[in-house]
Amino acid sequence: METSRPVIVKRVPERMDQRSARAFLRDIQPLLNSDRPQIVLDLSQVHRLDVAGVEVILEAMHAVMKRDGDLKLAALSDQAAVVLELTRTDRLFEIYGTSTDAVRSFSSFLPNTMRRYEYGRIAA
Amino acid sequence: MNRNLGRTKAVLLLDESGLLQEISDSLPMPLIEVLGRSILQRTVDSLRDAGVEDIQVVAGFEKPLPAYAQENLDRLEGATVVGAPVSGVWHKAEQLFMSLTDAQTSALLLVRLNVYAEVDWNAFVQQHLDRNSRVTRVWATAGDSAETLPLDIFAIAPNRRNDAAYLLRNGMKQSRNNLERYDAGEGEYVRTLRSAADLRELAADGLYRRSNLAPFGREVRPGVFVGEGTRIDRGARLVAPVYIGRRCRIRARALVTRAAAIEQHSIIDCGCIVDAATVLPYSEVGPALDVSRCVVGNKRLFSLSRQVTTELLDPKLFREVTYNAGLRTLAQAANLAAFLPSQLFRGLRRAADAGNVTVIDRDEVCEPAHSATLHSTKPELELQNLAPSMAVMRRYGNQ
Repeated sequence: METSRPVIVKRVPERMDQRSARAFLRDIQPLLNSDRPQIVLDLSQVHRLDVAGVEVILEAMHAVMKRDGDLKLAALSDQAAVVLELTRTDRLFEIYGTSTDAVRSFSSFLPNTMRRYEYGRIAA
Repeated sequence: MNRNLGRTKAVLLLDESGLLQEISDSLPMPLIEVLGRSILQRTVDSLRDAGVEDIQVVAGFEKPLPAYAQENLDRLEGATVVGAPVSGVWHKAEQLFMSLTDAQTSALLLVRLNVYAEVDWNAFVQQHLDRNSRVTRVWATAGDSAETLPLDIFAIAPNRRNDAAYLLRNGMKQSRNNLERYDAGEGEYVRTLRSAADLRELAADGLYRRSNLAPFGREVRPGVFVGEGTRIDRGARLVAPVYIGRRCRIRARALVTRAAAIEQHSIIDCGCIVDAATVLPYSEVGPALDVSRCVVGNKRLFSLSRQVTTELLDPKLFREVTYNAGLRTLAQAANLAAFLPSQLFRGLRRAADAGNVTVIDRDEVCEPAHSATLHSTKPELELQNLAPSMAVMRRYGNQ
């Protein structure tokens, strides 16, 4: 199931609060408007993620889905992971340990590289 | 293919030792579909792939089976089903053993379907033959257990009729002589079929490729498997790995995620979340519900985190989809007939209340089973401040 379309990896900034989240959304808007976008958001640098940041990630997901694309998350920092779990939005995304694995997953399913949630605990 | 297995025959026992008690007292787990194919059919398929051509299934149940389970038995491919009274399964198996063994038979496999085992049949039978054993039993570690346990899977030499009779008359708990032991290797996945948790783990292990239990459907995206005839609304979100069985309907704003498995002819209504859960065949889950870490079907939900079974008698929460295709068509027509006037009424009311009502869901209008959902028409609620894309967030109140 090879894909010939490019996969864009975008690093999410350290702070994703009200102001910076909106700026980030404007920044990636051209990517979201492309045909069937394939996007990976790298959250390794995220130190602060609040509701506005989560909203922006969800808006990006929504925009991508409208265009028959997909958006995946990679390399979640601990802070980002906690906020996504708290808001129960982590289950909306495929989450991978690294951006490379997330990019490769667009071509073939890689279960061993996924971040799994099983019965109340995070599996490796 | 090992040529010896061409002369190997198999008798599979299907009794009431593997009932899915948490959901129903008449639902044998081997007859439940896991990722689109029943455990019984998968076991028969694996034996046939190994070259075993003569496979008999002895089945005996006290109560009538649910229609889809009965169909899985009636339409079993590659094996002959022999019915028996529930108390006579062992006796019938013994009779079959006697009738199947002849001079051409190299070994006879006796398999009780209280486990799902991906045994290397070739290696198992070969060891049995190489050691000239009377009876060989499979030992394996099942699931997450570190302990190696004996399974009810035996290879019996065709001339050991008395050994077979003794084994069967004692329910496979005792044998006449010491049994030769075959230790299943690491690659030979085994899972007991004792509880709803086992069923859920089976599906998850298949989707995460920890076993060879392949989803029966087309891989529409990496890790997303869909059966034939299934309709998935555009606004639904499927997060790999997931399995959607044949002739299912996944409606708008539904979310299916974390190795969820939705078996055949099921309906997941608008805004519903199915998270690390199994939805049994012919089930309709109501709109805007959160079905997480559970097994649901037959009007019951077993919560794996709470270890509790709850009856779902309210049709807004759960409905059984009728097995009869004609009745299903009539029901859909009736729904449409009821839907059109309600939409007309809604439209007239909206025109009258113009400016006071906010339409959030433009894809499909859903009637939530409860009031605490995002799809509210009361603009004074804080929900309005949330992004429209946060369709699956919930206000949990005191939670």
